[in-house]
Amino acid sequence: MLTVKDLKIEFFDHELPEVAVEDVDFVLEDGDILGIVGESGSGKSMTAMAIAGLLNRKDLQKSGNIMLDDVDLLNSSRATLRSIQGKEIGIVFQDPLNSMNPVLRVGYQVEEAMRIRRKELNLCKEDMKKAAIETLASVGFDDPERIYRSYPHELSGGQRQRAQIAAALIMKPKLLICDEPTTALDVTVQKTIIDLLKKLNEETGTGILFISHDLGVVKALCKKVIVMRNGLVVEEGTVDEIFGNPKEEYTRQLIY
Amino acid sequence: MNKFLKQKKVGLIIVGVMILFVILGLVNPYPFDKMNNELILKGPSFAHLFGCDEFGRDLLKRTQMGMGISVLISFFSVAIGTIVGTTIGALCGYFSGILDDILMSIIDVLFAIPSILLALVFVTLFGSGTVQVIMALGIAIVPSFAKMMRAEFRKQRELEYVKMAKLIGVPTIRILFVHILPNVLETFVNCIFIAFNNCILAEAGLSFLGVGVQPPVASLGTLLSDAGGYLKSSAYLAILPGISMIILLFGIGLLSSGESFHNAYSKRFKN
Repeated sequence: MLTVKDLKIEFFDHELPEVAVEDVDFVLEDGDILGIVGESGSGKSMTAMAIAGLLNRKDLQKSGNIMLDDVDLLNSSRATLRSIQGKEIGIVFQDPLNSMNPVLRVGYQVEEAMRIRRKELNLCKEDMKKAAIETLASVGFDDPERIYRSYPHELSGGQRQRAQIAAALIMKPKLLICDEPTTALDVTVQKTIIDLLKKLNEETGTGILFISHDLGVVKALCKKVIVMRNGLVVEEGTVDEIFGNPKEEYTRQLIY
Repeated sequence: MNKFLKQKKVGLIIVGVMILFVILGLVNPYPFDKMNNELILKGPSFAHLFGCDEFGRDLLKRTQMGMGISVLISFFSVAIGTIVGTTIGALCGYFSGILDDILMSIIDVLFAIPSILLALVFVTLFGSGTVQVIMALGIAIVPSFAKMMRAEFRKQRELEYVKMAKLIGVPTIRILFVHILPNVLETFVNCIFIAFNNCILAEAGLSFLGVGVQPPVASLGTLLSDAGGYLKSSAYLAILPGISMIILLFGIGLLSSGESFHNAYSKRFKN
């Protein structure tokens, strides 16, 4: 479903270009969970941002292809991107406190992706509310009605992260990008989020691109893993291969 | 912290009383422009609480009406300044780059010109009158508004919820005014109050110079400038409208203090 080919991202902050990501190739099949691991600055988040279409800045140059089905996300126009963003791709960020708007109610934010496409989809307010509450329930809230009415600061970190996942999933996207979604959470909450992602993946067949520096989390969730360092793919393979029999020295260092 | 809440409450009460004062003017039976030879420069009495001016017109009615007109002019000026200033500030803060550079250079030039002078130039070009004063003051407000809003939008732009909104494909205009604007509401509201205060003062200044509203209609500025000739014999002509204006400005000033609003806002969130 998602094919990344020869992805290269360069920065032009200074006189010499700085390579953030180079020669990244991978394929994410329908309903798969792919993990990208690496240390800080290894280019994993950059790759995710490129896929999400958040990299239209003038100080960087991109080359290669990112194909989501038949659309090239890297080289398509803003209008095409916009129609895909939110509908086909959902994203969950690391810090659940910053990634929700503090002055809008959770329900409003969960609905937002649907609300801006309201005319095309021909929805009324009640439909949206119903969909939002269903989605909130599907991410494991026992009282979605209450969550719908609360503000982000009234929720705990784990709840906020789940609300964010709900916001990303309301349009039933094919691909969910998780950029270190568990990093700011403690271990027990991490586990509930991982279980939730697994469950969603099984039930809806949403493909998940999971980015983390925490190998334990990746091991528990993903089927395939890519190890990145300094913008390059060091190693890739299934979880069993990478964790059972790492070929590269760097991967071994990461694991132990 | 509580002190600020009290401050805001006092401000609200004062502004409320002044609004009531203006509204009561509507039921004041004396006409504002009827001259009366017998009452010329009569001091305050029970029939005429504020006394009468040099043409024998009831000063209470004129003050009430003048304040109403001053507030009305300020309201429209602030509305113009707010809409234009916020739009410019939001665009500049959100998209940096060439647009930001160009617009901000223009704003900087506007900043360098004192607002009264700017208004005077405007009035010289287009003639004096209420509409011209509204436009002139509105333009004078734009620079400070744009600057404040630009700083706030720039700060918000980097936060992840904006990225998130962008990611689900929210149109830029909607991001600016539905997602970011509520987050900068504190600065926004304070800017409005401060601009309102400045506007009332500037309008009074312009009317004092004779380029604002034209007689026989009164505004706070014209009342003060008319009273100028009688300071020695009938000081109440200047003092009473002057005090009314000061109280109004004081009330709005109390409302505009940043902490109080922030406090009220976070209180609401806590419960």
